[in-house]
Amino acid sequence: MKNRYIIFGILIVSWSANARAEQQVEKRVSSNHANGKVEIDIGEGSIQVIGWDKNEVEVTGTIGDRVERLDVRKGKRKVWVRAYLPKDGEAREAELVVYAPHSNDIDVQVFQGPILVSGIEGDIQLETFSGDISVSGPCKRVEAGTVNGDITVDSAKRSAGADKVRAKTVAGAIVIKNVRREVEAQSISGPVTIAGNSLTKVVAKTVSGNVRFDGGLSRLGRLEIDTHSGEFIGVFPADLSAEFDITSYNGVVDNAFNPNAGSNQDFIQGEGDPQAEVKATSFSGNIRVTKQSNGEGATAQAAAGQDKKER
Amino acid sequence: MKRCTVTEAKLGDHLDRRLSLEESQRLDRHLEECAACRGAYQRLVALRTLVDGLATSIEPQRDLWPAISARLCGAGASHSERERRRIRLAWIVLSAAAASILVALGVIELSNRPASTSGPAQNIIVDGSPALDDSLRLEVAKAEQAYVDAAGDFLAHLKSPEAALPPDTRIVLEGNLVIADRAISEIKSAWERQPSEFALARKLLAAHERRVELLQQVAHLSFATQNGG
Repeated sequence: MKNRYIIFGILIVSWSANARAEQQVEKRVSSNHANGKVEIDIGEGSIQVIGWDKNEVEVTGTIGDRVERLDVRKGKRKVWVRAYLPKDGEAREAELVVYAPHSNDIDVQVFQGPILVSGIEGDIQLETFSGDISVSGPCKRVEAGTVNGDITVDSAKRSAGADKVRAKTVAGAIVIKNVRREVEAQSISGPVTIAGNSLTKVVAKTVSGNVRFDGGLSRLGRLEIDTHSGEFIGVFPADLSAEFDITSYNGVVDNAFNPNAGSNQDFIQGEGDPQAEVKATSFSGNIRVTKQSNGEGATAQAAAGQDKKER
Repeated sequence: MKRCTVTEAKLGDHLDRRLSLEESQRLDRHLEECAACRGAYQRLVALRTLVDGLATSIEPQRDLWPAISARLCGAGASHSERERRRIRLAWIVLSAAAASILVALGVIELSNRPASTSGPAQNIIVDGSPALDDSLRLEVAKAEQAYVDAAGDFLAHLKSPEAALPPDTRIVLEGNLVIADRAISEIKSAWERQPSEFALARKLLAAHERRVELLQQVAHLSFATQNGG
């Protein structure tokens, strides 16, 4: 019983010490430029960026006691949000929610901690050593990098989808959906999942991570998958027109468009000149290519048709 | 912890003599004191020499250069913009790019080789002359060495106190380096067993490239998240 009181006492003391260590912040500056940029650099902690209609940047949240100060400064085209270290300090800690004009570009660097961005229409660049990255909403271009974290990009709310997404992680999972044109995803051991219609370029590279692509390619679109031991699963419209080049040296290739053709396949699928290119190579991973069900295929093809008209 | 504030681009500018005299002298003094920057700068000089040497000592096919240039400078950029961006490339980018040039040369060499019609990878097996095979193996060995050197530099940087990797990140990095090393080893063994399968050489260099890119990514994040990009 006595031990319980001691443990409870320790918890209370550490909680109140923790409570003292944090301080609330709330800062706001007007943004001079509707197409400006917000740069955020906080060291350790978490960042959530939310796009809003106001032409100003608001920062709320908490900062740790080792943070000397949190600056929110305005330039001609930029707003900086930065946690400053004392001279001999090692860590900056902040848990912030940043509201930014939705049309702005966003650049966030966190040493350790997650980054969440939503409702931003500009270019987004996010980097963290260790933490998940999540982007949702109508972004234009996304570049995201983390060593030990997952990356999720879903721009479903924008009818057109993001133009281009580049995601790099080492051990985390990558999930990218509803991109309009280009996707580049790279991981060593984490799995990669990409879904989208009428994409112009899809590149996914892993060593041991599995890769899944579900969707269609535009005319002259190109999909390139490279794994070492990871499995690749591709799900394409049944009426796909593409040139296939698929090889697995020590794995099994199972291609619904070209059954029983062995582990090295180089052929044209569809009538006439191929409209797209599908290239997948693996050293020891299996490669499985399947056809979408009718509904999925029709959706992908309709999107691809729309893409063709635009051209 | 004292953190280096020299930007990556500045080293490239210094090499290209685009800094003012005062800035150059200041950077020279810094290079004398900062081992990490000095190593990076020396590597940059070596790589620049390597790249310059490649352009003259190996004559690429006419259609090779646009791909290399696009890789270095980013597709779609104007010529002047490419030039401007080229000279601002950070040492870590150049490190991987120089190795990529070697790979590109090797790949072109591979793709020009005659194909036989047998075996599981029928479009890449060659029956070529021994001299050509030896020449190709030499190129692959050189490219491998370039990757190993680049990886060694990144590893040295990442092991230094300046990198300040979080413990969990270090564990993840080491675990994934083992995965990348295993992949290289497996492909290399396969190529030794099937020396005529030159597509495996391409795969081998791609695996090396992946390993360097892994280290490059961690080094970049180390720099960016601790120095504000």
